[in-house]
Amino acid sequence: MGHFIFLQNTVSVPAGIAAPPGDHAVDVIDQYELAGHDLSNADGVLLSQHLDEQHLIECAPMLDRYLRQGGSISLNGPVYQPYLNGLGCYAPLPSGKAQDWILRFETKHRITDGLIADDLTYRQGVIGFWARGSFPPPLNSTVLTRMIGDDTAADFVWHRDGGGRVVVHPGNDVWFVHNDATSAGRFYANMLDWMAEERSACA
Amino acid sequence: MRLAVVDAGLAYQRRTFADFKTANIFSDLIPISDLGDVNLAGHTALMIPCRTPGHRLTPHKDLLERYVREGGLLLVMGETNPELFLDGLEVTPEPTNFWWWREPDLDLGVQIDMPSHPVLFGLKTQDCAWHVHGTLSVPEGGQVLLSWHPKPAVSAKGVPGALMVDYPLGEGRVLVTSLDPIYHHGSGFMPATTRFLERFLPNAVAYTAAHRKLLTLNSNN
Repeated sequence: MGHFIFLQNTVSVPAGIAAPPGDHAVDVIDQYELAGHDLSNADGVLLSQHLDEQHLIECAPMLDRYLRQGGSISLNGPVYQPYLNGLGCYAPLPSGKAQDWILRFETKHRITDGLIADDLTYRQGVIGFWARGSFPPPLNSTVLTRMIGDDTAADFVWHRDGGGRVVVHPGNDVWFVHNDATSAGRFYANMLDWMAEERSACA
Repeated sequence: MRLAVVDAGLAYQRRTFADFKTANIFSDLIPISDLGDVNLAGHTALMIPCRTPGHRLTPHKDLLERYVREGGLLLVMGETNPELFLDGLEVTPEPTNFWWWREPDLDLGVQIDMPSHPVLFGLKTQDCAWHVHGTLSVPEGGQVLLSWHPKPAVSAKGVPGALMVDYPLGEGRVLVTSLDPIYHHGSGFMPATTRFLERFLPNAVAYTAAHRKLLTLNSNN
């Protein structure tokens, strides 16, 4: 069982956070109350696409400190102003063509274990829900998925200098599809499992 | 005569502000945390952009009402839970149909009711049709600018209702919509939302100028 922290800035708590998969526990804290919380025991911090980026920039030292302690962060969405030191800027794929957003797996990884790439690419036959652009993976990143248009990395795990890891997903929050009938829902469940395992391995 | 806008720091809002920077739409970006410290009276119009968390505005409810009653034009965009900061306004949520456009010859059911209203100038129904997230009540004296009339194939239980309403409050006005173009444009989804904003935002600036003129005329009489 893993213990996670979700920063809330929306009016209601997303279903995938209120009822996380497996036996994981997610504590919900108000984004603006982050500074008063001790993150050190969390297996992961879940950062939604709906957060106040300016506030996250102010919290970057705290997030950096948590990562240096061996923590994990799930970073979601087409971020406008990168709030973690070392992350580049999001850019959409220039073509804007759906066929270019088709995903393939780069490598075997715990997070994509048991997933089918087409389940990430298509929702009811429509392409583009998962990713339409991404961030340049920093050095020491493990690319999980690529968009076949120009082979741009979509999802990746960024192993930070000094410790910690960030799972970067450039689309809608991964917990948005937590109950998807396809294998896509396993991305979120696998990610929580992996973060909890990584934390216990480091302990 | 541009729009002051509440800046909730959301990526899609900030990207939209940047995308329309050269169009001179927005005058001041007011960080949501500073809202209580700003003299709103200096701004003819204030926009609450899409998906600003409504519960963050509840503590400023009286301030926003006073701003409008004293002559302000408040523009409230979609998915902001306006019922949390505007008295007398109710929202009936609608489960999102992401797939209506895949059915040949099916339209979402959006209707332009007041094509002559300044904020709708040049907009076609297809520019206003991506998702319907809910419908709005019509406060006293309000006009329905856009409405929704779903066919059963779009929404089995959907009830027709208003998508955009303009109503008076004291000396000012509230223009509220349940459409959320800034979220989609700023996230890189739904080209219709970009077409919508390319018209709606300059129109809102023109409406602000007209509102200011009317206020001036009224105060001179």
